Amino acid sequence: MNITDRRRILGPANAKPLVFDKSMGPAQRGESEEVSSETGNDAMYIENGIVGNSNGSSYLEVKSRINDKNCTLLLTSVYGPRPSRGAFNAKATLSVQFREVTLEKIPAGQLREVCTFLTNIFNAVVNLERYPKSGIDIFLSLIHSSSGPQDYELESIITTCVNGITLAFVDAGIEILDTVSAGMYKKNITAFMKNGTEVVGFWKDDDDNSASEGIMDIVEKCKEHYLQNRKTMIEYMIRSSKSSN
Amino acid sequence: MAFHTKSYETLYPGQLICPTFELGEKKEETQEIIRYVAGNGVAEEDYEVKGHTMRALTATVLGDVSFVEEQAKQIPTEAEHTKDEKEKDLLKEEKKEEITADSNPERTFFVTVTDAKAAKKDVNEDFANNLPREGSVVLARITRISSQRANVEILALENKALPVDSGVGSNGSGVTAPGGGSAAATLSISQASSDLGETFRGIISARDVRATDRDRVKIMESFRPGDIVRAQVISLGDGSNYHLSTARNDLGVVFARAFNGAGGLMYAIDWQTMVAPNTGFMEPRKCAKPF
Amino acid sequence: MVMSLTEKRYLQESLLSKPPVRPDGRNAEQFRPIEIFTDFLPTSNGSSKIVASDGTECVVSVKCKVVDHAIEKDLIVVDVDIAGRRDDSPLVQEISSILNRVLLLQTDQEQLRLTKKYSFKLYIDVLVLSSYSHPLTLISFAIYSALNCTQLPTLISSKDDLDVAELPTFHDYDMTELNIAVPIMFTLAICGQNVIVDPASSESDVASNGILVTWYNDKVAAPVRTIGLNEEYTRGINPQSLADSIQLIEALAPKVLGALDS
Repeated sequence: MNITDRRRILGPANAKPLVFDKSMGPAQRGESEEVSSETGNDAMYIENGIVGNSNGSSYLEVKSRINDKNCTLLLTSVYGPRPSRGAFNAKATLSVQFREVTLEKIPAGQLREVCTFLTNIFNAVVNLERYPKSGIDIFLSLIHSSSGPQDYELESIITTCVNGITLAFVDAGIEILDTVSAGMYKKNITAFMKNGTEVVGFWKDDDDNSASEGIMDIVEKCKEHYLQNRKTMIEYMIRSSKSSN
Repeated sequence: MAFHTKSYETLYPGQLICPTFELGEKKEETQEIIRYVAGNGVAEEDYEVKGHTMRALTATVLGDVSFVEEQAKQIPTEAEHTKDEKEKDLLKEEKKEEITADSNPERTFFVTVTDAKAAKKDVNEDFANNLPREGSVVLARITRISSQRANVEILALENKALPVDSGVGSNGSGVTAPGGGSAAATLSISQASSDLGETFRGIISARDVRATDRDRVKIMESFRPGDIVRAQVISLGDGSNYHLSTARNDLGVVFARAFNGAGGLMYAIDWQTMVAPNTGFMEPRKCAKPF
Repeated sequence: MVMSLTEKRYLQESLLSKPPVRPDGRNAEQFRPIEIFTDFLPTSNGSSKIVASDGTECVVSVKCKVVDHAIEKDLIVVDVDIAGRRDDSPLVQEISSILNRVLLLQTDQEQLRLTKKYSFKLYIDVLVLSSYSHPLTLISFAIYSALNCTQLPTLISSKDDLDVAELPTFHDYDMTELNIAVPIMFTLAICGQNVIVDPASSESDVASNGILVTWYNDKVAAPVRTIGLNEEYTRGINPQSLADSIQLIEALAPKVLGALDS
């Protein structure tokens, strides 16, 4: 129907012949962010904007404060807002895709659960009214995760995902209502916004402290971790925006 | 001290900027009210402070805040742009008098947070991710014409930085992720592949081509497929198309090639004719006033 | 039913008021009436059908098979089919993943042990004939009643088959009742400060967030989590609402179980 060919990926109009550049050598870690693990914080390495064709991206390396065998490497990229098809929609639609790029250890059904859980969190967080008739896509690539005894620890992966998506949104310049971050305590995750006064996601996978009083304890413990994570992320964001100016 | 005079550090998403209104200078009989309206990169949210819920403005992107005072309430017209500075000053003074005459003077500020990255790219103060909305001026390519309307794909918003992946598809000059996109998640594979690299689409219907003599508009004599058109968004339209209009002097075809794209670039000689300089052939178009 | 923006706004306001005003006049902690029929499928070991007042209908059948439990570790498999939704749609996959995990995590697999070598493996097939609100609560009620009426063949051969290899043999017509504790799950909707149980579809459409609570062995168990009931009105919730909803379930679950058992 349209004039332009949409069935094939055509070369760009201004295509240039392929020229190989000299290899750059390993990237400097000088400007990186490494928080010491001695203070009981997670060691976190953040780098934004490394996926060239996405609107915004973030790369996170997290080493747990409790278990030094627990390490998660996650790459998040955000595409869009892109036009969506079908009926008129006054707000944007979010979609989250999760993929393990190296070893596939997590069952597919569980990945779906994680995706819907994350979508639900960010439905509350992204300022969707600003993006009518469009879709925003989040692609999560889990590069590595280990947790000592188990093959993987889903809880620390989800926590990293929440933090990674927030950073990628900030990098993309997509409007989010708050710097959302998640905190983990044992097998419980809580994602907060508005400085810990609102919960946007709660995930509990063990039976401990399930009574109503216990829940508040868990939320408090997660909040401590959340505040640390959020502080690290904000420090990184402020620093990177200063260095780019 | 009023919030709009304070100096702010770099803001991050979720950082509070100011309440939606505050009380300004108090004179003998009048009390100045300062309102703050959320612009780009700012959202109005409920916050609980000491047991009270109040509305406040927070940043939603990383960047620097700017307060712009709302100038005149009247609708900006073409004439206003050409008014020289003196006239503008006069206008302001008139307004000041109006304000003092008012019992409770109000000042309104638009609060915007500018994406640090977009600002670096030397574009206007607007940040990267604004989608077309009512009133915005876009550049679009004609993809298909019929007697009632012209279909276009929107290439860019005027004065706005283009997001890295949006607005350019596999047929543009950008790079996209094959198989990616919301289409891949929500549609079946067969639909997804044809949707690869889609842009926002729009419609210019025949009655919106020009402001006068609307009934006699012939799309064939206004646009041809491949033309680059400057148009204004008149509504968000339906699920798939924005509704655009070129009914203004400065809107219409800006770039066109002769002989349905086979010939060279043409230049506008008046508002409804374009000429190809090396052949001298003339073709009808609804041209935008270039200056 | 698709509601207009104004209708949604009106409904949202009424659910936000204290106490919440629900469109069908229920209290915050009131369930809709449900009807349960059990053991009606002649070819399965246990079955149940549940019909909710809004027309949501769900059929569950339980079948068993004798397996070597050294080879097959997972002795319960749940398969979910929701009419009108693809098997790979997020909702179906999410529900079946949650159910599989909950049943494997929480139920005592020892109860399925037949001999030292062999066990029963249960295949639970869930078919949702029509669904108008989030079907998880109803499915879990249906599974609960189906498993509680499941009859398994009675073993007549010896329980110790490690020394003398022997395939288990069963009595010709005697059946033993399956005695297994089954978790049930509740979805709650949170509207502002209010927590309401068993949200109808219209209520789900305007809820600020949803919470899934599991109840097992007379206490709240894993998983407890937030689940999205809609895309438009999802918002952050007060942490207190989490505690409130668990308190609500602690008060309600024994009554619900009482009703399901009777």
